[in-house]
Amino acid sequence: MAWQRKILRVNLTEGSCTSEPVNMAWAADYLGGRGLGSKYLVSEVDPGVDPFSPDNKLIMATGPLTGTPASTGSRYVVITKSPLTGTIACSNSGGFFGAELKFSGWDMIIFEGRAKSPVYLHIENDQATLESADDIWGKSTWETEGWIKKRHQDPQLRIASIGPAGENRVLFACVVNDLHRAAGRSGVGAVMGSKNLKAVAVRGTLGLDTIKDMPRFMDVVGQGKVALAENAVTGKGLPTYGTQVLMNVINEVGALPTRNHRQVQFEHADQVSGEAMHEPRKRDGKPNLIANAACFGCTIACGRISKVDKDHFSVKTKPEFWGASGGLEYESAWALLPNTGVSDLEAGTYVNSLCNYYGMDPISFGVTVSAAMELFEVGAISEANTGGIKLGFGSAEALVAMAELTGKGEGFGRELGMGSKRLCARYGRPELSMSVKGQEFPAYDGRSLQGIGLNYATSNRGACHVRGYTVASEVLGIPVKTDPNATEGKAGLVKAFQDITATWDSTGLCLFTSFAWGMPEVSMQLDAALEGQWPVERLMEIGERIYNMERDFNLRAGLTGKDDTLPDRILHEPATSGPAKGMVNRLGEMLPEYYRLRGWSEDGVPTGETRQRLGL
Amino acid sequence: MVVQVTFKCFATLRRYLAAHGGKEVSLTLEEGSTPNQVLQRFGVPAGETHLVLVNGVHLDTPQWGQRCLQNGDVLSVWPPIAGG
Repeated sequence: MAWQRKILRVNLTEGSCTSEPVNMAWAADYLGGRGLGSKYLVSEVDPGVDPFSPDNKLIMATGPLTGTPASTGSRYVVITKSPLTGTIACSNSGGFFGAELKFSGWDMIIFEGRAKSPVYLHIENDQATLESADDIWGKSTWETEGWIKKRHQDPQLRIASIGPAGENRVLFACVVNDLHRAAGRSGVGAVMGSKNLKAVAVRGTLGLDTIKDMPRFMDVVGQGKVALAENAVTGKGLPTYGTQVLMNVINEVGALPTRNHRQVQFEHADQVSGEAMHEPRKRDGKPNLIANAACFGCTIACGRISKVDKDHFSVKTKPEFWGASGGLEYESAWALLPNTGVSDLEAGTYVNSLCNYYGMDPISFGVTVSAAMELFEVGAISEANTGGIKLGFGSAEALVAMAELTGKGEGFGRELGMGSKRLCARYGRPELSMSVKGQEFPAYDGRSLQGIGLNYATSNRGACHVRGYTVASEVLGIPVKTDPNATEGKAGLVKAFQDITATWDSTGLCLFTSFAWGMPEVSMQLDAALEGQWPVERLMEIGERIYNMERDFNLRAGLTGKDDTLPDRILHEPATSGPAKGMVNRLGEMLPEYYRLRGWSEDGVPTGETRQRLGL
Repeated sequence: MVVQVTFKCFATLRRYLAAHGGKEVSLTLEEGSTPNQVLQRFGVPAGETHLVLVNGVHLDTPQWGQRCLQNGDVLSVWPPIAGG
């Protein structure tokens, strides 16, 4: 098996760190990562809890394949009740932190309570101690990493931390690890900040020697790596262009939300695309993109490493941002650029770095700025609100200014830090928030892709593409092509993607392997690594169980089927161009069938039969 | 009769339009021309081509050789790609 079988429980109120065994019966039913971590959360936290209460908990969980030789076995998740959505939150990150945590002998950390003053957790194998973070409270994630490594004289520490955004409880604050990887969505960093927990620093030298059948595991892992290398997407497309290759595709199919979803195509998409990141800049002749990068154990290497033009207005006087750093991925590029109407790739790159530096989700930040730009254009807010900044669509200067203010928690940035739902409600235009359950949309328009609209409406953490990435089928033809404009069959497609993703997120593997692998490949690796048998049917049932468990938590938190909806704009304002011109999302045609396929009542509640079938 | 068509290449396929600026080219084609004929004209191997759109609408592989391009059509092609 690939478990360490140990959980580190950290009571921040008492300042204690204790070890306890993993509930292996739960691991058999929920696997690890998202599934097992969520099982602990729903078992220990009242769904009605105030997310910022000491009674909320924050869980960092690895999967059974995290830290193993399996390709992409880098993933860990951060689970809590979200302050942004009021739903269960589970944010997934790569980098090296998750594997290091496993190597230190722990599968999971459960944080509870609230420290009296800022602390960070230092783990060196089985030794875990809480240390004062007074000297780094207020510092960026980058400064925090440097300070902790220097203090412990250990450059090989792996660190997950929050920046000022998390400390200031920006509702979309994230947890950043390894400088530019992040558990990005749903405000998990704000919960960490509410607990006065600045960082977790891990050094693990114990390794992992608990694979059930190592020769068989290495054989199937090797087969998996060959499949990734030979697949044109994972072997060539992603390492060359990263996820940013989607910018032009999604624009051409007319599903690229633009200017707060007013349009579905951006006339400057090519200027901010993955292709553009390769091209020499006019100003200095150098490309934005420096290299690709891989997380622990990854043989895809989709990560982007970029350098901003030093003479760009945004960084001229900020040498700390001149170095190579995490570059634009598709979701962040979209939120910061087309959705704000800004066509300045360098500005987007800098703001993306600011999001890493201050610790905030670039998707929710970008969409919230976009909403503010529309509020400004319709006259709901003015320069009197923004501190004299003209917040119109297309202004790179305004985008940069808003990122700096939000990160620092100053001026109008404090209002942006509430997220678009609360911001738009405050100024009397709630319909301008492009969100579901309070979480901002990612980079695909639900009018142009009917399935992704249904997925957004029913995602357990609010609008999210990686809860059920039907884009793979509706646009890219993976595993099969479906008509993006059709509603027929989308309920089943969405359910399948959602359940499979819940399982994938519980393995410790990256979801991007699913472009080349199916569930059988995952099954073979788990079966060689873990005690027991792990056939595909069992994994599919685990995914469905996890999805229903999350749903149950949300319902007990007070959400209802009425929250499974989309903004008026997506339901009633037709797309303005492209193949879906004139269309809206026809959610009403899909939702009843989705509920039926899920075994839920007409109100969206899992029936007794469904609960019994899944052992809930 | 002839038709005017815009041909766009993306990602690694842009090298096949290097002589035309690398991104897109306006073409005058015989009526009845298909996407496959355009790909062949620019030496774009079918094996490297995965996603073919006409005016943003996906074409299944058999249609690459059947769909007659119309005046004003935009033909866009990609190698196998994905993201998220």
